[in-house]
Amino acid sequence: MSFRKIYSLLLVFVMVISIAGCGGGSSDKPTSKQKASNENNGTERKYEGEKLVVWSFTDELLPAKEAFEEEYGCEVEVSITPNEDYPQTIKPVLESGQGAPDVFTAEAGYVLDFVNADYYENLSQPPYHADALKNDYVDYVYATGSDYDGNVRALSWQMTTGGIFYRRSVAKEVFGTDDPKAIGDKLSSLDKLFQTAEELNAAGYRIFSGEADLRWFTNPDQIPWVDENNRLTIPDSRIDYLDYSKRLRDEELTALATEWSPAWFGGMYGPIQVGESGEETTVFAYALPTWGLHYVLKTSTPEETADGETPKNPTWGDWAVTSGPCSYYWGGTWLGVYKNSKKKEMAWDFVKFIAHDEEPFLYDWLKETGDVTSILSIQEKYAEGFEESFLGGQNHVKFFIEGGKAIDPKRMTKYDKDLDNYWNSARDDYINGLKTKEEAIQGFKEAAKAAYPDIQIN
Amino acid sequence: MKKKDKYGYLFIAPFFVVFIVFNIYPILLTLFYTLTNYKGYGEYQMVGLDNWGKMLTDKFFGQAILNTWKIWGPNILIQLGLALILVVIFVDLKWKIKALGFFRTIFYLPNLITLASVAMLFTAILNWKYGSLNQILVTLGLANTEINWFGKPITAQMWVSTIQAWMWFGNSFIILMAGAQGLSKDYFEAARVDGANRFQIFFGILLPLLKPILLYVFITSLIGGMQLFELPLLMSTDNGLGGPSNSLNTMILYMYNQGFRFKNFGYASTIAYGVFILTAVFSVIGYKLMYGKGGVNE
Repeated sequence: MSFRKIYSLLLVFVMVISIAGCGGGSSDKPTSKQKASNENNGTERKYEGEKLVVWSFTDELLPAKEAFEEEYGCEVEVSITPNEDYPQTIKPVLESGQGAPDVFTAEAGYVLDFVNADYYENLSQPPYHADALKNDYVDYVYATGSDYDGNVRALSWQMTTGGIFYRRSVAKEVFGTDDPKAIGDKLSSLDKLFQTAEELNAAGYRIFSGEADLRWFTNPDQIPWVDENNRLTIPDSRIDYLDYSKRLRDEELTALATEWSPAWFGGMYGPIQVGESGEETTVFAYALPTWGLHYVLKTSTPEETADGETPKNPTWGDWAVTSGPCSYYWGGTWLGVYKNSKKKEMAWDFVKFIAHDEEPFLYDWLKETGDVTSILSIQEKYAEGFEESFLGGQNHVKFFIEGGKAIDPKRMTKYDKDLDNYWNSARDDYINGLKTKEEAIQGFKEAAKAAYPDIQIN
Repeated sequence: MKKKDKYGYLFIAPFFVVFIVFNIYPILLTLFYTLTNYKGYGEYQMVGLDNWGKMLTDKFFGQAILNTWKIWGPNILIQLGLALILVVIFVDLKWKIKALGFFRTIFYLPNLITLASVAMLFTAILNWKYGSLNQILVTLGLANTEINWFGKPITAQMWVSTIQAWMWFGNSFIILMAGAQGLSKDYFEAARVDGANRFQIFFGILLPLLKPILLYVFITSLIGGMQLFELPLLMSTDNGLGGPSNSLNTMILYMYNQGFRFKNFGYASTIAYGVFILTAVFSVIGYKLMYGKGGVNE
């Protein structure tokens, strides 16, 4: 590979896409943006002529940007960098302060790293007093945005609780019911889940599209990877996961599709053929979080038709969501104020605008997107009346809100993403027959030590 | 005494300024970081030669060196072998193959595709149960069941190696072909008249005359190969950590993960120097092996 290629790759890494503004669609119903602007008529446009710079890895903030601009008569510049490159791109900027944003977001995978690196303003201090907002949030979301000393550094309007989405028609055929509670009971522990998987196999179905879905249910006791004494902890449930994974493989209980591969998506809208030698099968369920409904399941459709139209997912209405062996969360966006920002007041107003204050924007925006909120004070009102047609009229918001309350914030560590990856790598070594279970665990410990020398490993 | 004109220095200054700022300074700064426990941000302490000691005993770095070789080695054999066969075909006086420009473009095309697309393409083709390669193999009866290419280190390395060769043989071909076209036709004609066959012409004339060009291709490929990074990053089974079973963890991937992922910036800087030293040593060894003591002009 030539030096020129490395260099151009680096350039791509540091490239930041600046979004100057986006057009919005019109509808009969007033949107959150329109409402924010209507309510602002006659009020003081506090930040008239000023500009706020926001950096993010996601375009979720764009509606908030527009509404905030209307509300305060200012300009908000949102720069978006893809998530894979975002931490590497923003860190040097936050370090040096050169061209740093006033507000920036962090994703679940590195938010703990960011809130403890002294990049975010301490929002527990005056004049913010954000710790007074503690009771407004679901525990895990509030705790994740706080540093090790308990100071609030970042907030989030959303929670990303996970569940198991399943096909109602398959449930009815195999189990005689499609009731989420009844199906939830059949998946309430890993033993029950395997029993259910075997029943599905006997009927010609596969419980999951791929083997990766099982990983969310490996730590029911919510024990953190690294304890308060900085010691690596591997609970029995995680070790059992290796055996369960092996059983999943040996008995071919899943359709063996790789997560995010075309076949994996294919199972969301129709039967898939498991390998050239395998039979065609319908996938029963997917373990996905809140955003999985809107951004993955609903948008998975067969290929475009000849006239260029994308057909609707043909399984629309045949889904429901229920709980698995334990609660989990997947992803999430937090945001806070840069500690050296020169516009801290404006930045804090923006953070509250999108991540706390019900009016004038947040509530209506949530209703539009169907995003599940972490803000307790509006959860109940918000959850009322949701009937998701994709899920056959089920109120998924209520379900996810309950799931979010069960997540113990103490389970999270800044090592989670990498250690999860290494643990899954150890699982692969074991189920592919490359290592014995003990060797795989030992290999995991060695890899963890090489990556994080400060962790104590027995 | 004649007065020296100093304007010349002014004209060459921009290069040196850029070179110092973007090359010398980072190189020296990286050397400094090897002596620290810098995490890529925040405060750091001096740790002496700890990082260097660690690198010498680091099992994963040792594995990374081996992995890099296991991937680069077969790749250079396929790449040069294929390029040489094509050169032989195209320079053959008897066959007189036409449309060299067209073939050159075709062979070079894989090199123009961005690596991310190549990785995605092959990840799809080589997918265990749903990849088209396995479907073809099973349909033709060449395999009883689908092969989990990325379930075993050897097959994963073999594929990365093959893809690398597929991407780069066109490049090697162009350079070798340019070298071969520069050779006088008289040698080949004389050999033909003397009754030499194709093998004799290849080993007796073409190969020795192409040696300097081969050396160039070999050394540049070696330097590039030691820096193998994107394909292993994008194709590893554990989100870029170098799986299956650490087999795609090349030297640069390991450096990248240590630095940007695990935030052991000081140690990653040390690995950068380690890779540099190793590449230099390997290049010298490669050069000596090909030419012995006397060098190209021996």
